[in-house]
Amino acid sequence: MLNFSNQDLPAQVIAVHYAKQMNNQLAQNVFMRASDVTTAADAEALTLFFWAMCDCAAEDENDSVEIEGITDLQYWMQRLMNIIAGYLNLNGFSDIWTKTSDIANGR
Amino acid sequence: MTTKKVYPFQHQLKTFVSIEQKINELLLKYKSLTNGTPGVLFRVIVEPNSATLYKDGHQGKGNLYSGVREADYKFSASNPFWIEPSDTRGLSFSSTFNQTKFTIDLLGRFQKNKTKIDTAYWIIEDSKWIPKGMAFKQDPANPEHYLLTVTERMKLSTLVTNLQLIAQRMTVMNGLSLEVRKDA
Repeated sequence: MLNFSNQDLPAQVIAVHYAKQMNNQLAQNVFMRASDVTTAADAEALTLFFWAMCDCAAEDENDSVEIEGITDLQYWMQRLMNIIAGYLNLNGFSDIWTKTSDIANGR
Repeated sequence: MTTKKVYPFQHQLKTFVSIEQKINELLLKYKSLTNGTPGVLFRVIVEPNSATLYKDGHQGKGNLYSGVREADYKFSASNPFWIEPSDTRGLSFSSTFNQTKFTIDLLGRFQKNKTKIDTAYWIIEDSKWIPKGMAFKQDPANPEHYLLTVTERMKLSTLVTNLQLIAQRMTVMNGLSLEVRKDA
């Protein structure tokens, strides 16, 4: 399961918020630690969700949006990137994270 | 009408290729240590911040104390002028090109148009120059991510001096700046 240390709990709060807002059931399940990513298709979908979530977070930070008292979305998105990339790497989906992230960034 | 998605660095692919070549060259030159620690680490810098300290108003939405982001270090709950040791807090560094590249992609989204983004590096064999009470530690959540941590309780002013000393020994990759272009 995706692991959030105590100090990373704000990252989980933000990720669950966007998963619900974007109505992404896979992301909700993964970030709420209800299920794991076990297929390449899910790894790709989670990666695409992550970058779409970043786009939303960048707009929200620009608009000074607060998510359950958290305002520093840039810091927590970077933290989420490290957590998600590390998680997909650990589960054997490092190549999918890299290829899909390149596509999500216009490369 | 749908808005065409804009990728901030879409027209700077050649610069990414040059950064990859430079990083691969450095990784080859400064090989990993026998304990698995990489020989060189990379840090993404968003202007006008320095390699290790932030300028007020350019740190995101979090608090900043003397150029140190509150989120990056464990400030003492009883006295904010002191920093407590922590293995899981510290400035962010990457050990691979991919990790560096995606950090650039991520931070680019949060910057204003035309903001310049650079990559700097620290050679691990120079770690004898890391001030007492500080060390690089691998992020438990991601093996390609490293943190410049505080290992001994120290004053905020000492941390700032230490970070300045470290920045002096870091090298910015010349001629490899990227520019955020949200109107591309």
